[in-house]
Amino acid sequence: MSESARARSQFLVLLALREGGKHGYQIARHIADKSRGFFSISYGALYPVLHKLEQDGLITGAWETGGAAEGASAGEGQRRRVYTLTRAGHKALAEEREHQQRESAALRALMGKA
Amino acid sequence: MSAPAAPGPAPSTPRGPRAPQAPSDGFAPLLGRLERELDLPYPERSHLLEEIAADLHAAYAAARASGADDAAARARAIHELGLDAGAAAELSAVHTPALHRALRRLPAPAQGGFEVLAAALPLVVCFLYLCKEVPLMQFLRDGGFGSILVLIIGGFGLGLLTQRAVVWFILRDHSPRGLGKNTAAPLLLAAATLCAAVLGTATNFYVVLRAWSEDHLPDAHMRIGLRESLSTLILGAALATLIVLGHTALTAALRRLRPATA
Repeated sequence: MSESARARSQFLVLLALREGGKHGYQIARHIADKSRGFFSISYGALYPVLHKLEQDGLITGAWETGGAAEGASAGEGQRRRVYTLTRAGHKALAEEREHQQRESAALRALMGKA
Repeated sequence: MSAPAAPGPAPSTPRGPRAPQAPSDGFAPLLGRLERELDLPYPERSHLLEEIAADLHAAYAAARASGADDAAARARAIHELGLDAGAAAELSAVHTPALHRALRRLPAPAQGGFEVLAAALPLVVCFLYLCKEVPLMQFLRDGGFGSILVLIIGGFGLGLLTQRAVVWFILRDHSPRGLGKNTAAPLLLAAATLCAAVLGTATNFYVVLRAWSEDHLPDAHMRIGLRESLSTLILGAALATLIVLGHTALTAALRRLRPATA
């Protein structure tokens, strides 16, 4: 995965976790559904991103038994790893959102003049 | 609408996924293959497999809820997982210690050389410390050739243990190569150390007693000779005990990391 693709995936994950804790499959579904399929990432490809974010202290993972997080879909009694944003994650997300908004505005301005 | 029961793996322990329990465990072959192929240290590998199992289960349940039959739901869950070689390599980069990653870039003989050096260094330091603090050299001289032999065999056994400690717990190399070092060789070396000690002591006894019985040795010297001969046995017993204890501790620690198969 290229550096820019990794940064984008990390931003998407942070965005997906803004509304509450989710496990890998839920994050992948959330990204695909909310972006109406524009962004699609397999939940297998999410694990490196999730684990790196966790290592960097931007998210935290906790084992929960099926049914605790949104969209309960795991089997009864099955443990799953639910990720939530940390304080540092919220801060990083806010900074990245601002950066993305500035970038989008600049692109829109450029495209408008073309 | 309740989600249908998924064919996912059995609930896992905090230390790693349990062996499949139900015959309908449709994801067990995939998880087994991933466990073999993923280049991650334990317990991270077990935790990731448990995470994957739960997500496969969730994907399967979602597919069944949308009307797919069992086989189609299972196939869709596996397809959606999409854990390709690139993702596996990135996971390895996240979890593998920097020292291990650096060593992997070296040729195999250089890696082996580092492991031997890392294993020998603490033993040499320990030996030099003992030589300085206690009359170890005198003790070794008392035992003669038998003590040197015991020291070599026992030192080799302790070296194997320190090499394993370096590979398993410092480099955290839990690849088939790293885990392949989990053999009973240290126990055999402990037995060989003890045998050499007993034989060395018995030989020294024989030499001393023969000299005494042929009146070549006064009684006082005979007692000294017997006492000095015992140093080989003491050394061998100490080294063998250390090896057995070390081996037991290391394999127990490895089993804690990797309870299903260690």
